[in-house]
Parts: sequence; structure tokens; C-alpha cells
Amino acid sequence: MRVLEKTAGTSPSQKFSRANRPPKLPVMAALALLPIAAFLASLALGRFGIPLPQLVKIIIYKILGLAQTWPDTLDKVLFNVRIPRILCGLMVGAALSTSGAAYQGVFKNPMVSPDILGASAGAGFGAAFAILNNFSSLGIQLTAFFFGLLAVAFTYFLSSAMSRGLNAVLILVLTGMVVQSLFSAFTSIIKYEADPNNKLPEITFWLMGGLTSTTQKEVMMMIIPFAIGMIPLFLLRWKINILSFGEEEAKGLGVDTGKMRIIIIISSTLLTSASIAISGMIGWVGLIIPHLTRLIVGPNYKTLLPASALMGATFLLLVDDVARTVFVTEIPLGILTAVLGAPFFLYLLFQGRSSWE
Amino acid sequence: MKKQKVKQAFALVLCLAMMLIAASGCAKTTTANQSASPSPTQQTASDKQEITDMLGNKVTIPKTIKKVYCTSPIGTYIIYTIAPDRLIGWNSKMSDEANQYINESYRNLPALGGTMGGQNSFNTEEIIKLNPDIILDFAYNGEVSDMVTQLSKQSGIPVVTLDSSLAKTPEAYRLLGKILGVEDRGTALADYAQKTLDKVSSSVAKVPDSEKLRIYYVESADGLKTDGTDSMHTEVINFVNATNVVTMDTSSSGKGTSVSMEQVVNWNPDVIIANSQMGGNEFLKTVYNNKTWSSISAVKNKRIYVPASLPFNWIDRPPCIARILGAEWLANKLYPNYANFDLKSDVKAFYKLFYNVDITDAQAESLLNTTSGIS
Repeated sequence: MRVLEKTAGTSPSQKFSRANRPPKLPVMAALALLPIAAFLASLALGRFGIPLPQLVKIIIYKILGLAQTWPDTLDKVLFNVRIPRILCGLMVGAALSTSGAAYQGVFKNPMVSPDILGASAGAGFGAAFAILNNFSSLGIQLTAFFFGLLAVAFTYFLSSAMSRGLNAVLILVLTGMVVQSLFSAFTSIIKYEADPNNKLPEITFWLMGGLTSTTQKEVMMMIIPFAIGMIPLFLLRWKINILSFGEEEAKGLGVDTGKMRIIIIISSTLLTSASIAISGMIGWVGLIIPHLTRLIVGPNYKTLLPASALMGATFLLLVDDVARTVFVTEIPLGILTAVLGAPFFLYLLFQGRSSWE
Repeated sequence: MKKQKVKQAFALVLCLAMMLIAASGCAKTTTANQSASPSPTQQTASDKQEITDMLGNKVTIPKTIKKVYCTSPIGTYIIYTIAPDRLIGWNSKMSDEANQYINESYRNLPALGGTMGGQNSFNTEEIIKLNPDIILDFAYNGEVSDMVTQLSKQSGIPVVTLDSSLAKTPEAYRLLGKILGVEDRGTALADYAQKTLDKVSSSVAKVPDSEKLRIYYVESADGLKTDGTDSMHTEVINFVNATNVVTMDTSSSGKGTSVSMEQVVNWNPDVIIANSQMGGNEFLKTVYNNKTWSSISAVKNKRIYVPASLPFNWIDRPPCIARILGAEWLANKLYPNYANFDLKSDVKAFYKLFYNVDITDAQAESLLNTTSGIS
């Protein structure tokens, strides 16, 4: 497992040397341009062809507040369908990869992500439970968040009780898998109990969701938890560095590790459950994007966290562009991220293996 | 330290900027909608009409409807029979076998996806691009899918919802005839459907309770997936005065509900109906050699039927207009002494009237013969 830590660059001495190096500004600027470029490119992509000059004209007219001179249909496609979907794609991608990066730091474990820790499965169960009991849409969100948090807590406490420092990385991942399948099973039980004509399709829709029918309502639903989860992580991100050194060192540096850990876990879980509410369960993003980002900007959370958010937003947006433009019918987003993510995970394992020998 | 402050500010600004973009996107849209909404009603008021759909919703739709998008094959197939030129696509690609019975000009319509099985596979932008005049949805027990409501909201295309129950088929045809401006055609199909349904129900009504058959409906190759009496998928069984042995709650979305072999042995159905769309043919191939199944009365008496499925399944999957013929066929299979119909000529008449294909005696027989349990 030591090798995996090496992949993530968590050896303390290395970390300090890297952390002290000033973050490369041009790299960050380039990363910041990525989602903007992807956003603009995505505006022009879609099954409904909008010629580029017309698109530019519409945007300019909208910004200047001029009267509409284009057909209503164009307006609907752009503002009711395409832009809400792009915005949600950006936010979901940023949320999943930021929470993935934060979890990895807090648990000192490069192999964790929202899905591996059980946060996704827990949130999914919470949502199914809330739908079954006729909660409001805010109630559904809150219940999803609560059970997501519960699942992470289970994973964390069970694994730390079991491992006592031995093989902690592996045991956390295995415990996470157990918790994850437990909550998935609970969800299946709920689906089994649900009224097939009414509740079941709603639960299925919620869990599989996808960004397919994203509207402005979804954008508004996402923004608030997105901001509430994202802002504390951004403000505290340098402290994740300290947490990832280990308990002793962090305490030595005068950081209240317990409180810090809780705030970071709560924020990350909120981001995860809010994403699931919008897009259903999308695996792998929270695992692979932080790793990719680490390869580019290094392990310092000061830059890693915002860079992960930017890369994640771009990645998910581009994948969703494929999902919505390539075929006449939609390709489920989760399938695409798995096709890209699973080989990458194998690559990580191989990296680990080759350095063992 | 200073650099870190700058970084932090940068991240915050970025975060805020994203929110602003999102918020302004929404604000813009609302104003756009406001400015755009009065115009269509002014200029086109005379081209619109208000109708009441089968759920009692008042819907404003264009007077002339040239293009219809159907959210599931139930709708697509009914439109294919009443006014195929209005279809903008199938929901999934038609098989070569089904295409034998489909008029050539419609064989290659695109597959647009739909909301089948609790999952939506349609592409919202693609549907808007094809610009249908209405979205046609079918509801069972009045349950409407959120995805359809959402599609209509996003695209601004009105949804007309019809009732998918078998007995309401004539009513659906009449309403569609009116909406699509093909009233004569609608009435002709509605009358035929009504006549057939009446004929079937009056003949099966004579079956005494003591002779009522107990049916098990197979929806998988291993025979252990089924749907119960409450499901939209088993309406024909109820309609022909037979008893579905499965009375528990079963899921209507997805691919049937799993049951155990012991439970099936315990039910001991008189007749098994296997759906070829759901592995019925594979089931039929193996069931007579299977020791466990051989104890069941339907298997012992070789009373396993696989309904024809071309171009559309006669019984279910989807539960569509072909069930008119399916009901007649099943009544005859189950109760030949009470429901004695000239099936061959009825099959030919149905295919001519509904699908506009002339089928030969041989084709009619082969459709009826896919149904026999023993071959």
C-alpha cells in the first residue's frame, strides 16, 4: 500500500518540499480556462444544430437585453435544454471531484472516492426512503444527505476499529465496499416495497437520473448545496494538507483535527448527495479526477482542490457532451464514466504493483 | 502568505462566477419566456384548438397535426395503425421479421428512444429538432411519467395523454381520429376494435366458473419472471375471463417480477402463456424436457402458448392495439367451445385494416401457429 501512497505523493518529506514550492500560476490559469472553453464549445454542441454565427448573436443579444429576433424553438433549446444541462454538468463534475479529493486527503487514502466510501449508495438509499414516505423535494435532499453522511461515518468508524493502523488503506476500501453494498441492498428492498405504478418509477428515475432532463429547476436546486459544500472546502483546503500528514503532526501544528475532519467530511458528503440528486449515481469521477489532477499540479491541496474542481467540471461536461450528441438516443452517463474510469483504476493498481516488485 | 490570499480570493471568485453564470442563465430565460409567450397566441390563435385528453386534461394543440412523437411503443403502434404518415420515428429499431409486416416507407424511420421500463432514452434536443406538433403519451391507471412532463416543459410541445387499458382502445382511436383529422379512419378502427372486444367478452362470459382456467404468464427464458393481475401487462388474461394465478403486487416497470419454482409448482396453473419478446421461445424449447416443470398441469397437458409477435406482440410488451386480435386469439385458445371464431379470416382482416398489409393464408397460419404449444 505504501506504493499507492507514493502515487498520491503523500510521503511527508516530499509533501513539504512540494508544498513550499510556489504553485505554478500559468498551470492554474490554463486549468481555469479549461471549463470556460468547454462551456463555450458545449454551447455549440447538440442534436439540434444551431449555426455558430446565430449562436453568437443570440448570446450577445441576450447579454445586451435586446429583443428576440430568432425563432422560439432556438430559445427553448438553448435556454431550457442546453444551458441548464451544461451548468449542471459543470457543477456535478466539480462537486464529485472536489469531494473525492477532499475524502482522499482526510482519510489519508488515495483509493477512496464518494462511491467507494459508500456516500453515494447511502445518499441513494436516503432518497429512495424519502420518496417512499412522500417527503418534499427539500426533504428528499436532506434525507439523502443524512444517509450519505451516515454511510461515510459507518465506513470510517468500522474500518478504524478494525484496522488499528494496520493496512488502513485496504481496510477502509473494503469496509467501504461492504457499506456500499449494504445500502444498495436497502435501496433494493425499498424498490421492492414501493408501489410499482407510482413510487417505483420515481425512485428509479431518481437513482438513474442522468442529466437527461435537466431544467433550470435542477440548476437552482444544485447551486445552494454546491455553494454550501464548496466554500468551506476552499477555505480550509490548506488544512487538508496538514490532516493528510497524520494525527500527531497535525496536532503538533496546532490544528483541531477532529473538528476539521468533521467539517470536511460534511461538506464533501453534501456535495456528493447534491450531485446524486441531480444526476443519479455517476461513478469514478471522484476517484480518477483527483489522481489526474495530482499528476499535473502535485499533491498540495492549496492548488489540488481548485484544480480538481476545474478538471472535474471539464471532464464531466465533455463526457456528457458525448452522451447527448453522438447518438439519436441518449447514452447513460454512468456507463461512459465507468468505461473511462475502470481502466484508469486498473492502471493505478498496476502502477502500485510494478513498484512493489 | 499574500499569494495564498490571492489564491483564495481567486477560488472564491471562480465559485461565485459559476453561480452568477447559472443564475443569470436562468434569469435570462424567464424574461425570454415572458417576451416570447404572447406572440404565438396572437398570431396563431385560429390555428389552435383545445381538446380534452383521456385523463381529462385540457390541452391546447395545433389544429393540423403533421408530426407526432410517441413516448412509448404503445403510442407509436396506435399512430402507425391510424395515420402512419404522422410518425417521426419508432422508439427502438424494428426487427427484420417485424418489417415484413410494416409498409416499406416506414421501415427505416429513426429509433428515437422513449420512456420504456422506467428509464428515458430519448434525446431532448433531438425531439425538439424534429419539432413534433404533439407528444403522445399513454398512461395506465392515470399514472403519468415525470420524464414526459419534463420533456413537454422543456420543449413547449403539448402532451396528449391517452388511457392504455384494453377496453379503452376504441375510445383512444376515436379521439386520435379527431385530433389528427382522420375521423373516418379513427371511427373504422374504433368500430372494429369495439366489435371484436364485444364479441370476445360476450362469448367468454358464458364460461361457467367451474371451467375458468388458471393462467401463469411467463416473461423469461427460465419461466420464473411474471406479472400479476394488477399489472398493465396481463390485461388480456383478465379480459378473456381467465384467472391469473399471480395475485401479489408485481412491478409494472422493468422486466417482470421474479418468483420461485416452488411457488409456481404450488400455483399449478392450467395454462402457461409465454411471451416471445421476453424469452418465451427459449422457455418453450426446454420446458417439456424439464423434470421440475413436468409436474405442472399446464406442462402435462401441453397447454403452453406463445402469442404471435409480428409486427407487434398480440398480448403484451408492449400492451398495444394488437391485443384486440390477441384477446380474440386467447379466448379461442382457452375456451374453444365458447369462443369459436374463424381466426384465420379475422387475422387477415385485422392485418389488412390495421396494418394495411395483405397477408396470405400461409402467413396467417404461421402467425396462428407460432402459438401452438406442441409442434
